[in-house]
Amino acid sequence: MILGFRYLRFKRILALFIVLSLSSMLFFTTALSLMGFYRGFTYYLGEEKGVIVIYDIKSRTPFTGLVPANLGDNLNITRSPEVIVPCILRNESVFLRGVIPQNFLRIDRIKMEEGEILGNDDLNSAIVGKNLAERLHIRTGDKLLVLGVLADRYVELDVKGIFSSSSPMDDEIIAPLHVGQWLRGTDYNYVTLIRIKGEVNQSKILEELGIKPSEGKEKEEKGLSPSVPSSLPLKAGEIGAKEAYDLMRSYMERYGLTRESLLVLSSTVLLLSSISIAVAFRTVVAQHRDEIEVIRSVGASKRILKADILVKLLPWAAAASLTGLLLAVLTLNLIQRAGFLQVLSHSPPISVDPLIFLLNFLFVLLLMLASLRGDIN
Amino acid sequence: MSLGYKMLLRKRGTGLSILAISLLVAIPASMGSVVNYINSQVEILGGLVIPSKTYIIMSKNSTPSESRVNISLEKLRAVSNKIFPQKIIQANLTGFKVRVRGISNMSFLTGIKGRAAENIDEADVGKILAKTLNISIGENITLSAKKALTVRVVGIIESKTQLDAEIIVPLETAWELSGDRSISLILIEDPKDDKIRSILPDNLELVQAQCIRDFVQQTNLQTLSFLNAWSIAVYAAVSAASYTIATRLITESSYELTMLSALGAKKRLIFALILCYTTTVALIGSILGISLGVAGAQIASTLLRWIKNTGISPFLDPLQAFQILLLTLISSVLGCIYPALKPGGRCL
Repeated sequence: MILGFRYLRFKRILALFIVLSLSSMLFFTTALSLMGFYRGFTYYLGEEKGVIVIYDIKSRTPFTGLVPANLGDNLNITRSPEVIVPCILRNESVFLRGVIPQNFLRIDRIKMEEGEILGNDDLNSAIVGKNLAERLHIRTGDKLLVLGVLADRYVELDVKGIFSSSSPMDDEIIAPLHVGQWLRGTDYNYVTLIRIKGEVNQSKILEELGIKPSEGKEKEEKGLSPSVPSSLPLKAGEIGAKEAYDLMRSYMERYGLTRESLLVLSSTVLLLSSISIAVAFRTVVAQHRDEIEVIRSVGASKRILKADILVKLLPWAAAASLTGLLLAVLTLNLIQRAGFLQVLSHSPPISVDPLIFLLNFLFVLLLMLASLRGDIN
Repeated sequence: MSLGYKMLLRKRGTGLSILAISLLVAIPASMGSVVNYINSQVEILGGLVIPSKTYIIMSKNSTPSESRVNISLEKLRAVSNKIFPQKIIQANLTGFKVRVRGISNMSFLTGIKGRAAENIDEADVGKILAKTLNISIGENITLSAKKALTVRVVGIIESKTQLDAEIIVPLETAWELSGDRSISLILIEDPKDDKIRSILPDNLELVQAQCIRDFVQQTNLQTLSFLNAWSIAVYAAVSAASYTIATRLITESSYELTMLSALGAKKRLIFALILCYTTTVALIGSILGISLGVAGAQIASTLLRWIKNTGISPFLDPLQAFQILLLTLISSVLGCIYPALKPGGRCL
């Protein structure tokens, strides 16, 4: 401490602490949910590096494109053709991912919480993500009536198991590829995207797709994925290949959603609550006017007084930031459990980023400095 | 009372207090207006797809294979001439569980390689099921459910629907296999919607096969639900701001409040004065905040249009504006009660 006097009263600082905590909570609630949405979306097609996605360049969302099902078939590496389709289940909007189980499991690791894994011979079965199962009270052995959104179709599926993956898939249904194709209203020769994993680089895939599409190749996935006839309208420039993370990020960027822009948006919330913090700070100074005048009269300069108040309030500011963070995490968890935290039927993962905490603390500190300068003067 | 009220309103900090509240209120107002625009666009996009008029009549809260439908087909024929009663059962085919669908009128089936089954001894097999179990036309297969029945495969169906993973038989065959003559569901096309609901008994429901409107509504509801839940944090901040505004008012007006007490003003009057002051600040602040939030969002979208040539048009419903106003007033009053109740108006 610069001055040895304990003139700041705990009860009076409490108001400032509460305002700081709640403003920080507002910032953290906004930032954590937006960043969670960004993280959940960018890692939607896999967190691991080395997963390349073949996709339809013209599609405006990752769910609406169509590419020939056997693209990249001749690359002799692990590939998972998938159809991601919106649908309605028990009056709730959900996403169903049609996959070839054997291929899908080579790319994504999922843990069966109950029941059995989906096999290639399960024609009318599905496995359900843990979050979705909890939300809609689905159990192994249940029968589900899935209604189409993009096509005039309905499907009855037997629940073979409940899985967890610690990814956005926990909010989805995983079913055989043909089920996704029915609900998408597409031909068996088309899928939404193909994920590829293996020792192959992006340019090699692009070369294969752009220059030498797999015309008339007769090789078929076991049972369910027919070959692509040579008449498919495959044109170079309509189909792209990108790393999963880069692809999803590019979709976000099309709508102006970058990590930075979301952080700026969150900071705006803190900026808008800054006047409340300034009012709270001014209140603390007004309440300590007598004490400040006494200290000034015994010879303390304004600069020393400001520095002393700042040092004394610094731990409070840090504690308020931390309290705000804890309150935000608690609130978001409660909101998530109540089923209110969903974007496109997926719950964004809530994880604390030290950068966000630092941003909040620095902002609070700056605001305190600005208020202190004005009020003590 | 009015003199005291005017005196408090003329305090130097009133403007800053109004600004503090209005900036906080601007947060949900701007977010709400942007979300409204996004939701309206989603609804417009959803409206571009005209859903087909295929419906299923089945038991309430059931699935097709568990459903039992008991309704006069004559009544249904009055609302649509395209009705297809179906019976769905699980059967065993050489150790493999298959779904068998009995259809009343097999001649409506399309995409058949071969021909449609015509009698109780014949069946069509879906393309995917046929490929999985290596079934071909002309082959005899034995299906066992409650009863066992050997049928000859006369066609392979490729309909790009769930029929492709099933065995399709005439309704009589399904009844024979299951041992009962019930109906699981009735597929109905182009019904007169208002009439059909009125003739359905209570235990049955009409399900539309394509639910784009439901999906859009659900997706929009998710965004609005989150926005509402997130607003709790905003109103908590408004409450805290109101607490400091009242505390500051009491601190800065201690002389005036003491004078009022000396002149005989009761505690209740001072409490009412502080409450009125905070409510006024909150009311002006929320009106300003709502305007600021919507205008701010619109200005930002105009700037975006200039920069990226893609803009949005944020808007706020009057009901939403009223909701924000009301919640701000409630949270402000809640925030100021503690300091206003302190004896003699001396808080902390």
